[in-house]
Amino acid sequence: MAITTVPQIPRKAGRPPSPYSARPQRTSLGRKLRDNLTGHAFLIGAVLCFVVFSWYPMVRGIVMSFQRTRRGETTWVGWDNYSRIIADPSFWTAWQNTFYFTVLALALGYVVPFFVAILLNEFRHAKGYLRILVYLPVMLPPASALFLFKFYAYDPSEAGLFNAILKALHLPTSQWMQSPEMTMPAMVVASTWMNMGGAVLIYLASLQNIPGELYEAAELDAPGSGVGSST
Amino acid sequence: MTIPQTRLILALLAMLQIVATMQLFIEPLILANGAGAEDSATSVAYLIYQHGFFQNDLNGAAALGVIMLVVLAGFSAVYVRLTAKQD
Amino acid sequence: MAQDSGTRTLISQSQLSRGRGRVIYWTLLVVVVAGFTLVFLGPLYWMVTGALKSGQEIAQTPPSLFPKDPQPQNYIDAWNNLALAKLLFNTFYYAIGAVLFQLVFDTAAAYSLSKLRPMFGNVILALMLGTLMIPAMVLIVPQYVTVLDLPILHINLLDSPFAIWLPMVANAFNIFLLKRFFDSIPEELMAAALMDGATSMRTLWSIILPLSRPILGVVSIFAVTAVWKDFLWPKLVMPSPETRTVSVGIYTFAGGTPMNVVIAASVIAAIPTVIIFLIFQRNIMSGLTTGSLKG
Repeated sequence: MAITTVPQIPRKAGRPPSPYSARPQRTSLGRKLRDNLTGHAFLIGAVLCFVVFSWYPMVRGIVMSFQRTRRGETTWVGWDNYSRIIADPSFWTAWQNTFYFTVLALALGYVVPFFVAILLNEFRHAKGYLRILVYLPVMLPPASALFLFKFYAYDPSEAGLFNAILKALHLPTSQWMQSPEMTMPAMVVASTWMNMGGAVLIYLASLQNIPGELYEAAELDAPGSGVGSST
Repeated sequence: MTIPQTRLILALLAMLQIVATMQLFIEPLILANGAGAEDSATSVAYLIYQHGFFQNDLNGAAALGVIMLVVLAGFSAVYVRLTAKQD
Repeated sequence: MAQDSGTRTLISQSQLSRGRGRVIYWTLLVVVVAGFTLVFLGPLYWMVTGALKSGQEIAQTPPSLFPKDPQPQNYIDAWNNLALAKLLFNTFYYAIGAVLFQLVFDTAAAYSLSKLRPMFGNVILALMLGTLMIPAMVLIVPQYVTVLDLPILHINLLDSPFAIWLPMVANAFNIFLLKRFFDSIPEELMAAALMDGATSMRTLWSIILPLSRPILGVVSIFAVTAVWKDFLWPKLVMPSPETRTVSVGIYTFAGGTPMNVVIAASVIAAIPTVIIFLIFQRNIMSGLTTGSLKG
C-alpha cells in the first residue's frame, strides 16, 4: 500500500485509507451516503451475478435436497432424497472410485509436478521452452485431449500407442479402459497429463521466491551435499 | 531448505487438488463412456449428472451435491487444523 | 519472473562450472528436454498425424510413425460433417461475450472493492472468495434449475448466450486478481484526480484502466480459455444443435463418426486455444503465478 500524502481525517481502525476521505471539508452524512452509493453502484453487476448464479443456487441446492418435485408439485420430503441416493448401489462404488482417483491423482499430480519444478528451477537453459511444454496440455479443451487418449493411446489392441510402446519394450500389454483394474490409473494418467502444468508453474514461482542465501546456509550445514531438500 | 519455504504453497495446492479431483467427471464420461467396465469409472460427479439429467431426479442429485459439499468441508476442516498446528 | 544465470538455486554456479558438474548438467538437460518433448509434444504430434491416417492404417500393428498415405480428407470431413464452422463460431461468440461481461462487471466490482470501499465491501469480497471453495459440481443442479426459470423475472435462459455470459461474471478468482492489481496503484494518483473533481467513473476510465492493461489482458485470456475448455455447463444450457459449443458438438457426434474424423475435429477445436497460448504465454504464466502466490 502506498503512503498517502494527502491530509486525512480520523477514521475507524482497520479500514485502509480511501481517497474519498482525503477531502475533509465534505464529510457530511450526505456525502458519505453518496460515496457508498457510488461504490455499490460499481459493485451491483457482479454482485447480482453472484446472487443469481452462485449464492442463491447454494441455498437452493440445500433446500431442493429436502424436497421432491413431481408434475410441478413440490413437497417437503425430509431426508427421503438422501436415503434414496445412499441406497443406490452405485453410491458407495462412486465414492470408492472418487477417493481412489483422488489418492492416485494426489500421488501423481502432486508429487510429480513438484519434482518437475525443482528440476526446471535448476536449469539455466531451455527453461522457457520446458515451461511452455508443460503448460501446453492445460490449454487444450479437455474433450479434445481425452478423445486423443481414448482412441489413440488407450486403444486395447496392439495398434494403440501405449500398447505399442509396451510391446516394443517386451512388456505385457493392457486392455486399458476395458479392464476394471486399469480404468482408474489410466484416467489418472490422462488427467495428470492435462492438468499438471498449473501446479508446476505455481511451484516454480514459489521456488524462485527462495532467496539464494538460504541455499548457501543449507550448504554450510551439510558441506558438499549440495542437496538442500534433504534437510 | 526448499521444503519449509514452499510448505504453505504445497498445502494449499493439495487442498485445491482435492477439490478438483473430487469433481472427476469428464474423464469417466469420455474415456469410459460414463460408468466404465464393471462400474469401475463411476464417480460421484458422474452420479450427480446421471440422477439429475437422465433419471429425472434433480432432488436426489441436489442431495448428492450436498453430501459432496459436506465431505469437502470435512477435508477443509482437517486441512485447516493440520496447517494451523504446523505453524 | 526472469531468472538470470546469477540467481542462486539448489546447485551453485561454481559446482556447475567444474568439469564433472558440467557434464552431468548438460547430460541431464538434454535428457529432460528430449523426455519432455516426447511426453508433452509427442501426443499432440500423434494426434495431428493420426488424424491424417486412413482407417486401415490406424488399425495396423505396430502403428506407423508417419502417415504413409496422408488423408487430409479426414479434416475436411470433420469440418463439414460436424458443422465445425458453426460450432467454432458459437464458441467464439460465447467467449467474446464472456470477456466483455467480465471486463465490465468484474473490473467495476474490483475497482469498487479496492478504491471506493463502500460499506460491507469486505463482507461482499469474503462471500465472493468463499465461492472458490465450493466445487462447481455441487452447484450444477440448482444453477441449472435457476437458469430454467430465473428468480423474479421468470425467464428461461436455455439456449441463450446469457446462460454462459452471466455465470462467468460470478468469477471470484478474476475479481481477486483485478483487486490485487488495483490495490498496487498508488492512492496519490487517484487523490489528485479527485481533487480536480473527477468522478469515480472518470478516475476508473482515465487513470486506473490505462495502467491496468496487463491484468485486463490476463483476465480476458482466462475468460476465453475458460469458455473454450468448459464442457458440462454448456452441454446442459446449450442443448440445441444450433447453439452448441465445439467440445460439446464433437462429443455429441463422437458416437456415430469414424474415430479419425473425431480426432481431426478435436485437433481443429484445440487450435484456437493453442494459438492464444503461444502468443500470450508470458501474460498467462505471470497472471497465474501472481494470482496464486501473492494472495
